[in-house]
This record gives sequence, C-alpha cells and structure tokens, in this order.
Amino acid sequence: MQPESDTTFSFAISTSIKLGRPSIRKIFTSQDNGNVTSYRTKVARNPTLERLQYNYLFPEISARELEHIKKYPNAKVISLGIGDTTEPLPDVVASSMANYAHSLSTRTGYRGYGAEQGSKELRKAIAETFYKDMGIKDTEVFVSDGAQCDISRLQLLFGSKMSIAVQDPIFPAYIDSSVIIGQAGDVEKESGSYKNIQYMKCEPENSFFPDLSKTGRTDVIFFCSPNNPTGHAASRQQLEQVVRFAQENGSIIVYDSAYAVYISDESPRSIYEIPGAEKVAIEVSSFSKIAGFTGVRLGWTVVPKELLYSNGFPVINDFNRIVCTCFNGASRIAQAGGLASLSKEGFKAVISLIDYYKENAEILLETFKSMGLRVYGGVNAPYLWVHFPGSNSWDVFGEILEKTHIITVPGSGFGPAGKEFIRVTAFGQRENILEASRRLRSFL
Amino acid sequence: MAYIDSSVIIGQAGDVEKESGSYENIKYMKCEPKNSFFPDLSKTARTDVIFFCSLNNPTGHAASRQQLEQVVRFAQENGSIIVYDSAYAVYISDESPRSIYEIPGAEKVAIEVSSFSKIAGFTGVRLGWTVVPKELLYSNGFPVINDFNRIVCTCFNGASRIAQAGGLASLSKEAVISLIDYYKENAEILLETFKSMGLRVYGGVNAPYLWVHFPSSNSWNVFVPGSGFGPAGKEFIRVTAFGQRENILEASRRLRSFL
Repeated sequence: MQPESDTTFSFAISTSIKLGRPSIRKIFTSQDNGNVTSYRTKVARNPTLERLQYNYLFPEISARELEHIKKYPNAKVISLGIGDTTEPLPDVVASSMANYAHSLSTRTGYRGYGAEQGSKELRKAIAETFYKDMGIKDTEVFVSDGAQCDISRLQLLFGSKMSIAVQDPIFPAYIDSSVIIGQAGDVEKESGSYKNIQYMKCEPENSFFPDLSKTGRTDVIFFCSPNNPTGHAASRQQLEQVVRFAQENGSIIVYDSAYAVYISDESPRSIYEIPGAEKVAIEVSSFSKIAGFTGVRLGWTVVPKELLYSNGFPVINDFNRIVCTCFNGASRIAQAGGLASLSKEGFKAVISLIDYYKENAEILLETFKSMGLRVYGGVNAPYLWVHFPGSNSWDVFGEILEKTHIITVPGSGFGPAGKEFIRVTAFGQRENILEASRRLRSFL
Repeated sequence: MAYIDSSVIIGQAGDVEKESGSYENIKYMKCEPKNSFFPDLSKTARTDVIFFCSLNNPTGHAASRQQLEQVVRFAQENGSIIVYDSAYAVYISDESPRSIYEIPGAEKVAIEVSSFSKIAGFTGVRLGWTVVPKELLYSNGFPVINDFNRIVCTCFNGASRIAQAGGLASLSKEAVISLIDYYKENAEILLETFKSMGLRVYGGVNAPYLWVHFPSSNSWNVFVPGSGFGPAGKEFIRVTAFGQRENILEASRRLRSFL
C-alpha cells in the first residue's frame, strides 16, 4: 500500500491532528534527548501493531475527503469511495426497530441480555432465507454486530500461528486483522506484502480468479465472492476448485458472501451450494449491504457442525466460546430490524433497494466504457474496478479528486495487485451517480 | 471472569494449575474479608497490565480514594498500565471515587472501561465505552491511544447508531437515576435479609451485588457460585440485586426460611 509521495501523504490520528508522515516518524522514533520529560510506562508496544503499515484504508479516505472539502468549500464532492449505503431504510424495517426500542420501556416488553449467538427467530430466518436446502441449521448461524467484527473474532479463534491466504487485491480487513493477531510476519517494504501471507493474485489476465496450482498450502483461505474490490463473482466451477483445493490441503475456507445479493447471473450465492463445503468452510456475511445496515450493525457467521480441527474437535464449539467470552450478542434492536428485513414485505423492499444500487452500477459501467477505459465488475457487485495501466493508483485517485471532486478508492489500498486500479462504488443517490457520470465523461 | 478468559484466549495466561484453577502467568490479587477486599499491593509482583474493577463484581467493594491512590502509585512505580473497570460506579453511595481519573496522575497510567448496561439497562441494547488518555505512553513513547484507535478502526465498525441515540438520551434525562435507585433499594432489602439471618454479607451498599460468606463450604447453590469468580470465591455466593421488586421481596421471604 505505497502512497505516491511521502511529503503529500497525510493521515489523521485519533484526535484529528494531521501530521505528515515524516513528522510522525520524527516524533515517535527519536531518542530521549533529555528534554522529553513525559512519563512513559514500561509496557512495550505490541510489536504486531508496529507492523501495520498505514492507518486503516477507509478512515484514511475519509481524512482525504475532509482535506479536499476544506480546500474547495464550494465544490460539491461526490463520494464514490467508501462503500456505504445511502438510501433510507424501508419503512417496515425502520418501524420494527422503533417499535422494539419503545417496547423496552414497557414492563412486559423489557428485555436484558440476549443469547450471545443471536435470537433463535433471527438465526432461523437467516438459515431459511440464505441457506435453504443447503443443510445449514439455525444452530450453525451466529448473529453478530457486523462482518468486520466477525473477521477479527475469527482471527482470535485461529490464533497467531495460523497461515493464511488472501486474494490480491482484497478488502483490507483480512490482512490487517491477520497482522494484528500475529500471523502475518514482517512486511516487505517495497511491495507492502507480508512474509507469511500467501497472496492469490486476481487480475484481468486470469479473469480475477487465482491460479490455485500456484498457491502454497495455508491453514486458512480467505475468499470473498462477489469480490470487493474487483466485483468478480466466482462461478460454480471455480468454487468447486476452491473447495477441492481446501479439501486436498486440509485447509479452512473463510468465505465472505457479503455482496451475494448483488449477483445477477447463476454464480453461487453461498459456498454451501458446493457439496462438501460444510466440511471445509466458514461463511461470513452482513446486513450492511443487504439491508442498508452499515450504521445499524448486524451480520452473521455460519460455522457448520461438520467442520473439524485436525484433532477432531468441532470448530463450532470454539467459535461459540469466542462469541460468549469476547462478545455479548448483537443489539436486540438491530436484530429486530434484521428480522423485519427478512420478512416477506421487508425482503421485497430490501431487494428493490439493491436493484436501485445495481442500476447505479450499470450507469457507471456505461460511463467508464464510453470513456474507452478497461472496467471490470459492476455486474455482480456494487463496485467497479477501473484499470489505468502503467499508473500509480494514489496519483489517479488524487487527479480524479482534484479535477472532478469525486472520491474513489486507490486500488493499492487493497493490495499490491491493485496498484493500477481505482475502485468506484455504485452506492449513492441516483442524482449524484448521474452527476458523477457527467463529470467523469468530461474528465478524460 | 472476562479479564481472565480473554487473557487465556489471547495467549497470555499460560497453563492452568488443575487443583487451584489458577493460570501460571496471571498474578491473582486476593480480595477477602481479612483485607477488607482490597489487595495487599506490597505482596503483588510487577505485571505489565493490572485489571482493577471497582465497584467490584462480585464482592461489591468500592475502593476508597486512598486505596486508588495506592493503586496508581503502584502502577507508576512499576511502569504498569491499569485497566480500570468502572461499570458499576453509578451505584456508589459514599465518597468513593467513581473514576480512576479522580486520582491525579492516573491519566498517565490508566485506561478506563465502562458500560451503559448497568447504568441505563442496556444489557440487550449493547453500548459501552473505553477511555484512553492521550498521556498514556508505551515504553518507547508511542501513545497507546493511536494503537487503540487502530484496533477500533480495523476490528470493529462502531456501535449501532440506534444504541448511541439511546445512550445520548439516557445521559440527558433524570430517568436512569431513579432506576439505579430502584436496584439499590433492592440491594438494601437483600442486605437486611442476609444480616437478619446472621450471615456474613459484604457489598450491597455501593453495588448491585451481595457477596455472602459461607465459611468452610463449597459454593455451588441456587445463586451464582463464588468459585466461578476465581479461587478466592470458593466459600462465597454472589447475589444480584437486579430484579423486579416483588421478586426481590419474595426471594427475601424464602431466604429467611432457608436457614
């Protein structure tokens, strides 16, 4: 994740004091020159956190957006950067949460701690809606406060000694959480790659599906499909390959299906559509991009009972322990909303919002194509992956921002293979998507 | 329980000693009637992190200002970081500090964790907070807050906006205080009950928990057994004061006829 220029790259630390990277290095690596009188504890910083290269990608994009707004206070900045839903919740879903919250103020409706694994009703609804006829039971569904949190809980489950493989490029949470827990080893400064992580390259040349014959064995394989950021949805045949690969190597797949509802063709929506997957795969998903719950916080993880460690111990038992010890259940209010979004009326409303974003994606796809650019994704996912061969993505990001006031995400934020790409999200209000298209067409 | 179990999971705790149930790498600071539930720090070896819960769950003891000054001094001398759990601070009835930051210098040695669970009845809503002062530095001078912010941004994605709206409302209204008083009255009733039974009972004054001593016994019973909280809990029972008043009164009636 190399930004173009050290002197112009700036990032916000927690108190929103902005410092250029060179000054950060100066403050925190300088020797005690005797003038520094601040008390320090004798507790050593966790070395794994020292291995994280830069701030997490998305807060960094936010910081750049704020900087730009300050520079051009009159420009109408359109954000096609962070993948955040924009459309209001369907009334039936919002009302269910409002009613539930209100019932907590009544004697008969008040509820305290819920089951850490989630309400039985919601677990059943998730199993029935997304895993019908796949043999996944409600008892194998763990409701959470979101996939990002689940990924870190899964890393806690796995521990520091697991080896992992990830797609390259990929949503940064798998790599960053792996670094934090201590799996990833040192970083190679030039490429930004971590020594102990297997990167499965996904590029136009291999149609964004990795060559598994070139991939070394790892304990865990993170596989996101539809992929964030490339937008590629793996076919049935490709997923059969992945499952076979995992079986041959005795590996565990962590399958991220957060964008499955955006699939337009026959591509599988769950890894459990592949026979045998229940013995090798965990699946993580989220209500964020399904129901617009990015701020409500609700997701789930499926751990099939058949998934066993090398000593025969069921993975589900340990995951349940993590959920009971390191978590206390998703908010009951969010769960009420989740249930409503899976009801007949709710799900219909939710699907029409998804269709709205898919139409946005079509518009942007057309725009980039008409500009003669090589654009991928946008069909099975709410992301477009635009190729600018020979370029540095932070440069392109900066240029697009400067010339069109549109925020995108530089591809190198997703890994070394993203260096020449820009990710554009299709989430947004229609008028902004149309305005963005107009500005982009005049950009090149 | 959570401090120990999470420590085991992350790999800090080492092996367990089967008989005592203690983990070899964890320092246990004994809190018992003999030391009025405040540990003898002179007998405590240095550790990097000191978890300190006050109001204590399960003993109900609230550390005094003087005691917390000792803890802060102890942390300063050892260069340790205190993780101070003040989840029950709102139940304090006397002058005991409600935050570690009431002690001068604590901002250089302590993180504080708290929750809306027992303040606003949010056990099912899910909302809490952690304070990491800017002045808290690792041995190399790096601010702990920077790393904690990174954890929060990478391993978490924020608390539910709806829960946060409720949290904001609970801080602007008087209503939650009357709920806390309700539970404190429950605690008084239970305290009276156990005392009238001639039992040695602790807590219940500054806390929604009562810690009842049954000397020479093993603590498995109807309530939460004390040994669930560690080896020093072996002869104790924890009783919670959370409950509907009618159930608290009924429980008192039944308890009085128990012994």
